[in-house]
Parts: sequence; C-alpha cells; structure tokens
Amino acid sequence: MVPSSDVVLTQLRKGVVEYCVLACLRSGPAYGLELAERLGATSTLLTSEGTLYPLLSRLRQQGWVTTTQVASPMGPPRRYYELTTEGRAALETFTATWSRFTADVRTTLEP
Amino acid sequence: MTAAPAFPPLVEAYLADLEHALAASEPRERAETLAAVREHAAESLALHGSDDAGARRVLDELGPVDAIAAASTPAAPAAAGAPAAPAATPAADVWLVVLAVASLALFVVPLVAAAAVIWAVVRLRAGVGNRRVQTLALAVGTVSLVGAAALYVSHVLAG
Repeated sequence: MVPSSDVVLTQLRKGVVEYCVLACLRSGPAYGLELAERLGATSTLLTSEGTLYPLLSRLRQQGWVTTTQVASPMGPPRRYYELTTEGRAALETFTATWSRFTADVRTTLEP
Repeated sequence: MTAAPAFPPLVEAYLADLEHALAASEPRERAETLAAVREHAAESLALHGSDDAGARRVLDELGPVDAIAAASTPAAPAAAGAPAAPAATPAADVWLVVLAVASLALFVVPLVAAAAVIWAVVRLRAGVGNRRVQTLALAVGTVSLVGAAALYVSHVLAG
C-alpha cells in the first residue's frame, strides 16, 4: 500500500514539531494564537492550530517551556509560553543533530 | 480570577465536543489543552468578531476535535500505570510466626512446634499468603522440634 502524503506527514511530524515550537519561542515569549501564527497557519508543521496545545502542555510538563498569565488588552489573560534554559539546550542539540540528519537524508534521496 | 467569556453557541458546542474527545487523554494535558483552546477561541473571536462568521473562522483555525485528541497523550491505564502494591501479609501468616516463636519458647512441649510446622507446610503447599513468612515459621518450628528431640535424647541417655 502506498501511503498518502498526509500519512507521511504525520510520521515526519513526530519528534520534530516540538522543536519547531521551541524554535518559534527563541525570539521571545508568545501566547498561543501568536505562536500558531509564528508556526505558519498554512505550513505543514501542524495538522491544525488546535493540535499545538497538547504539545505545549507536554513541553511545559517536560520543563522546556514555562507559562505566565499576562493581562490582555482584548479579553481574558493570555498564557505566555517562554523557553527555559533546558528547552534552549534541547533545541540546540536537536538543531545540530537535525542538520546532520537532513544532510544524510538529502544525499540518500537525491537521484 | 477572570470569569470565563461567553462564547457563541457554535464555539461552546465545539468546546464541549473537545472536552468529550479528550476524555481518554492524560488528565493534566487535557485540562491545559482545554484551557488553552478556550483562550485561543476568546482571543480569535475578539480579533475577528464573535458573529457566526467569526465563530466559523475560529473553528476552522482550531481544526477537528479528533485531530487535537489524536495529538494528545493517552492517559495511562489505571491498573498498568500504578506500581504493583507489595503483597500484604495475611493475619494467618502472622499468627503462624507467633506460633512458631512460641514453640521455640515451649520446645519442651513439641506439640506446639509440630502444629507450627504442619500449618506452615499446609500454607506453603496451598500457595497462599506470604511465602517468606511461612518459610521463616517452618524454620523456627523445625528448630523447636530438633530442640525437643535433643532434650528427649539427652534424657534417655542420662536415664
């Protein structure tokens, strides 16, 4: 059976998207909607914006991000997500490993 | 504490569906996801308007509740998740040890030791209760019996 591109994407996202979320927080703290925009609403990284939130909860429980409630000018307080030192270190490790990995994948896939 | 904002019925129904879809998710992740999605919805509605079009836009952004549930961690099964509790020692085994120790003190009356040894063997063979405690009682009872036998032999030899 030939897998659909959706199935391939679902597999590829595993173990990768959380680091993309961490990377989006590198420039500074962000609240959920803002973070979803940074990740790109039309990108292939998230199935939908809602899927970001279980992932953020796991990152928080892992100690890679912290959350702070900040008053919002337009509604309920915003939950800001911020990268921790440990999260930053995890991102650095991933980035270095990812470069080697993608280089190898590209070399292998190229005809 | 800020009161939860009133959402358009369409969004309220979506949030209820999401709560239901996350029923089997890890509890903390479930609670945080629900709270964060509510915030996302409130923020987006404030930005795009809370009319029908605004509500539909929010739901399109958030995506199907099943996709969110699929992205969440399943809750650990209660039986498999909890560490196995150490087996408690049944009262019968406690009394068995008491009897065995008593037989040691009363080794001149080997009937007590014999009772302790027989009871320990019966329980060990039945495979019930705490085997370590039963083995201990068997050992103590046997020592009592040996003591009683030695006492008897020394009496016979002396007589």
